[in-house]
Amino acid sequence: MKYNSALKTMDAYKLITDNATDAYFLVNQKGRIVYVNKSTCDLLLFKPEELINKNIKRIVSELNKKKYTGLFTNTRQGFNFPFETIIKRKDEETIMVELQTTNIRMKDEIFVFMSAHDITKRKISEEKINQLLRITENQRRQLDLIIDNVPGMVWMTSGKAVAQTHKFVFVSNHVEKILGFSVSEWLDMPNFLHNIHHEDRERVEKEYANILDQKKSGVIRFRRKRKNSEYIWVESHAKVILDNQGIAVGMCGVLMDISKLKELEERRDEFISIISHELKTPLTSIKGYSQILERMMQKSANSKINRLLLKMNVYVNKLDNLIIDLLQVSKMQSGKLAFNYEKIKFDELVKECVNDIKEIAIGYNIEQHGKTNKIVIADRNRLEQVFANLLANAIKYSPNMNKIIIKVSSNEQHVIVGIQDFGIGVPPEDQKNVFERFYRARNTTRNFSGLGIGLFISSEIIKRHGGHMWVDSKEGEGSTFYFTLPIVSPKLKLP
Amino acid sequence: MNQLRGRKNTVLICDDDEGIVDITKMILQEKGYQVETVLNSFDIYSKIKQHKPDLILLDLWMPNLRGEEIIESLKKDKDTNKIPVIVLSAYRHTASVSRKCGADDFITKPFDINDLEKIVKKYLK
Repeated sequence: MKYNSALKTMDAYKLITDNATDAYFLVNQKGRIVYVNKSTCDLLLFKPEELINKNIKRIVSELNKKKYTGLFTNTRQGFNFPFETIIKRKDEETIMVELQTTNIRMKDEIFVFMSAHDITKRKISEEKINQLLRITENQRRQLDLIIDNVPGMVWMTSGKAVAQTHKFVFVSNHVEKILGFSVSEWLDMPNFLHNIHHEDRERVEKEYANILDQKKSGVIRFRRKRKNSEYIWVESHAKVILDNQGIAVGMCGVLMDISKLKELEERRDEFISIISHELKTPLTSIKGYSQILERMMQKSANSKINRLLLKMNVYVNKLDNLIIDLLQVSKMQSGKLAFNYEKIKFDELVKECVNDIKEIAIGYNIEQHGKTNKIVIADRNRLEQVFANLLANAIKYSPNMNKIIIKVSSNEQHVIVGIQDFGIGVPPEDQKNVFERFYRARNTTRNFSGLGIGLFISSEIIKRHGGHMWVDSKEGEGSTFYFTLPIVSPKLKLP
Repeated sequence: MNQLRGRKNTVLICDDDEGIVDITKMILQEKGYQVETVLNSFDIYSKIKQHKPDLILLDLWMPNLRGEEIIESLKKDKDTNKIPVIVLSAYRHTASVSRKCGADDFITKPFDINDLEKIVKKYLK
């Protein structure tokens, strides 16, 4: 009975150990395995008889034998703790396990009971996580390095549609260099529009609001106060940050110190001013002498000399206009060009401009199509300049054709003007750039003189009027330059 | 008054550019004016005292004395403040500077000689 119950107990323990998921094995003092459970065999691909009576070293990885032996000694002396180690399957594949060792005394003999928990999968995912963490850490370090080396203050704000409510949530170390504040001082500022010069503040606020509204990016120039209370010119490049639903949740960008650039711009303006003055002075004499000569010759009625003098005057005026254009470009750049707005019957203005150009464009057939019956608010002289420039271009760039069409129409908001020539056209790759300052289409630089400022001035004038200018062209077939101007009610009173 | 006495109207031209002085002189003499010239702005006051001009044509941007300073002092002096001063300049801000310093009129360089004749005639009827 006693024996039976002991046997039953033994069977019960065997049942338990064989159904355990961890590998259990028992090692005697000589290091020989005396017992293995089913999981041990499953884990290591051995049959029980292949392990029983074999040295424990059979399954301990070569790499870990030394460490293992030491710990085995410790265990024998009564230590009992889990450690991670590598064991070897029958096929020499290694497995990471957590090994728990315990001293067991049975009769007079001491055994070491070992329980091995397979942690290979855990180890692999741990290793993956560590690897990811290392990569992330490396990337973060790289990003920090890049951000710190951007020659400007990298920033990020958080806030909804209204710019005033935005707060800085990130700013790079460069803030100290540009504005004299430390990163933490800057992040403590009450809102994102602080320290902007009072003359610029309203405009800047509007421009940021526009970026948020339109969910786009933009460049804004303004003056910002440094920690030492001095104002510097900065240029802020900003881009809206959208969430998953496409809602604006902030902005990010770079802010750069452009005081040097501003200084250069001022010096350039001053330089252009001096140059134009110095060029105009001798030009005055040339023009004066040629006019005096012209008068003297009219009396003598020498038609050839008169014709030459007349031509000379045309070129003198051309030179004068070039100098005026040059001055206008620099004024436009610094926003100093003044406009005198008035209400204008648009059709009358077109008629005047077309008549003016007809007088000069002898041999050209200039047709006008359409009518608007609309009123616009515009600076008459500047608009005449736009017409003169577009018509002069139409003539200049269609040397072999003599037809120019001026199309005038309107919709609810705008009058639309198109000036069409049948000349060399603008290559597709140049079409978006022809309105830039000093830009010239590739097919014009060799055979046509010019500075590349006429279209820049014209499109800037139209922009200042609230309209816009674009080109529709096919190389070799001609171009149509369009512009729009907003229509106003005839009842509107000018301030 | 001068014309009643049979004396020609005198125009004083002050500009540091010889070509411009030469041309203006030629044109105005042709129109029957007595023309006096001064190339160095320092000498302008003595010339005014000497010739008592009926009109002064003055450049703005000259070495030594600047045009606007001359006009301001002429307009302060009761002996000279009645003399019309026309600014003749290639300076980009000619219009605003002329208005500010009290010049009677201005003409920008390069000018058309017809415009020069017209503006002089306007002040010397």
